[in-house]
Amino acid sequence: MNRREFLKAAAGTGFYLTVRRLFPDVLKEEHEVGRVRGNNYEKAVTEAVNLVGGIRKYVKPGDIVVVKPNIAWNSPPELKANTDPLVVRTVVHLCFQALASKVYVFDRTCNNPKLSYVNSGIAEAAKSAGAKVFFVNNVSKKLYPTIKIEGATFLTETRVIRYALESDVFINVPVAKHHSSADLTIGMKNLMGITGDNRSRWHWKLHEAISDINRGVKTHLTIVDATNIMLRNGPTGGSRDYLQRHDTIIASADIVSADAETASLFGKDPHRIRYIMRAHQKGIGKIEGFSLKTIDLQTS
Amino acid sequence: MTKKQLKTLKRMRVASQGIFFILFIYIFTRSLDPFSIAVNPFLRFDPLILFTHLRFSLKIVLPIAGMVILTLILGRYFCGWVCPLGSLIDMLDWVLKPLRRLNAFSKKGDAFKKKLNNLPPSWFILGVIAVTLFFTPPILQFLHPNVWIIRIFSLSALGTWFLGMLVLFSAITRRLWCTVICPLGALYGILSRISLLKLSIKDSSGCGSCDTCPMSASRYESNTILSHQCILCFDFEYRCPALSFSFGYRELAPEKVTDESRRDFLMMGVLFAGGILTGSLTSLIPKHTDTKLIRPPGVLNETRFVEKCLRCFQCVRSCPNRIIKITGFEGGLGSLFTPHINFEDFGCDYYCQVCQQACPNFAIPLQLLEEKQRTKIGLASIDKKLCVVFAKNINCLVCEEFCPVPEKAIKVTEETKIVDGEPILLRYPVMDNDLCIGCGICEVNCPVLPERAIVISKT
Repeated sequence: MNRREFLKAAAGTGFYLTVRRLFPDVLKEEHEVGRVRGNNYEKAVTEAVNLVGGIRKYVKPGDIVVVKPNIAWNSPPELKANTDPLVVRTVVHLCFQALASKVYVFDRTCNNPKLSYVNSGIAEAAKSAGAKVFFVNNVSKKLYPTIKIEGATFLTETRVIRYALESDVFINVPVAKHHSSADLTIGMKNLMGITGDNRSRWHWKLHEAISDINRGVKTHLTIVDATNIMLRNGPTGGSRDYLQRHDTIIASADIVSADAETASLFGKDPHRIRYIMRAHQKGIGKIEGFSLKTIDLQTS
Repeated sequence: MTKKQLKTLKRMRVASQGIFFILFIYIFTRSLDPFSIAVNPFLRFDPLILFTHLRFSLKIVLPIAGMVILTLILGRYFCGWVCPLGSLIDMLDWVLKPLRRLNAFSKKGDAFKKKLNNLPPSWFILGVIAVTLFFTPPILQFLHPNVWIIRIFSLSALGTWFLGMLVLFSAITRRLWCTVICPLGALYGILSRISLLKLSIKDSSGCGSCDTCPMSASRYESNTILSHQCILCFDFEYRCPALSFSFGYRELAPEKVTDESRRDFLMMGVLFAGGILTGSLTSLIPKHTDTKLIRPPGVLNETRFVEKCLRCFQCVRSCPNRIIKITGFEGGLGSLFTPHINFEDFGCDYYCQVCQQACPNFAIPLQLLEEKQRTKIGLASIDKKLCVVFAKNINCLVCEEFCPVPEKAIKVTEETKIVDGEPILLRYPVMDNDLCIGCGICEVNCPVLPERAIVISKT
């Protein structure tokens, strides 16, 4: 190395370091889907979000954030019918790290709301991180205004909870499970928890309904809890025998990509899961061709 | 005893009533919260209700034995110092004092009570209950004071009616329910006849101030106190100008046996025996136990349940899903006011057993959670004429999705059918009657309206 080369290299390094110091977001590694494996779930969630740009890319100071986990069932956390409380707590914590002003955590449950919130462990976990947790006992017109969905094939009109529409950032924190009618329930299916309609009726055209509601309501970030995926008898589960440990968190700004990537964990082709395919066709997101980065925290 | 001592005793009595009343309200409010369910001790630890228990354990028998022994020492302290309904009646009596002064009827009421309370009808009632504890129709359930106070606090129509009755009683005379009707008071009264400590009256001045006794237990004419009615309230004793009251060991010398007391004792036996006879006769009334009512989880024997259920509405109030309803006359006279399940808004939660925990006398048996999750409440059946998969070739399967049984009591059979020239993979729900526990979650969520395609019925 001669002097000229050395100076060039030194100047280059100095420039790189300065830019990285001044504009941390510019040179950061960024991918469309982040997949992190690790048994420290807090770390795994943080790393997965960092892979897709870091929480500051999504949550700006003063934002009102909605975190929508899956709290559908009155089921203990170890049976994984609901999102892991630790994952929810970490997401809420990350939002407050990015200086969110308020974080709301809610779901429209299938079983008794109070029992589901408490027994899933999510109410306490989210509250401990500072989130506002509330449950919906009755579906009122004030809380659930009607929205029109353009380009919908089944749900041209639906009622959606006010918080999901009015918040600045909508973070979807689903759990990856087998589902008898929809094949898999991940991120897009989780959005059924924000409607005030008779959801049982949606099952008659379930795949169209799921893709339509995702057209109507945009999620900014999807963080999939695939730590223990339910392989059979979903979505209620009820036995540890149905679970398979993966210790994986998948994050993406694109809800379709997140679902497609999670489907591969189950060993399924996302093209054959109709609602993911329909969502891709309706232009909600990319089913393939997204940039993926995988990190294994246990080996590295 | 001095005036000061008697006054202190009264203050202690009022304080004790207040403490137990607040305790009662606290436990009642806790029983509304499914996460901190507390059994009402006023119902569980009760000598009369003990015999309706389906399960005996030392944890329950010992406190009751303690209460009985305490009664044998002190007398009928429970009614004056502990009983929450007694405290409520005292409060009503105090509030309605001006009304009693005004109406002319209250004098007659006092005289009526004084006449009856030597040989109160409550002994007859106790006799009836002693027999009917072991048969239907249930009598205790409609006359037990602690059951009534829970009905009052749960704001049920029945409780409100009873509160109205109490107000009426209070407008006439004090503690009419306790002297004449209450069977628990009668039981404690019989025990307190042989209690060690007694309130006694000596050398009465004849001023008549004892007539204010709420139970009309003191008789200044004969210098006696009816020990089966004395509830140790010390309400007026300190006002006695002659200071003739004292509370202490009863005289060990045998009481004078007069013709009158002998006759009273005989009459008491006759009343009790008459009650037993009447109660036995009611067992001849035919029982209707073939109802289609769906009972709370764990109830397997309908006849036993109807006999044991206290109709205290604790399960109705504590159910987090509010699916337990009160039966009216539709289930026959035997199951009047018993709880039944109505699947309208919610199903019976798979991980919830609050009604079992709240039931004071195990009429709804307390099971292990795993046991409760296997116990059949009813049985679901699919109506193929209504179900959209069978009738209209639409894939639905909501019932299978919601089924909380881990192995899924609703199985799926797949079949490809050609509808309008296009082949459709139809997935039919099929019941597995061995696995189904009849929790009703499928019925509640069935999208077919107004009549659901899957319905729970009693097995």
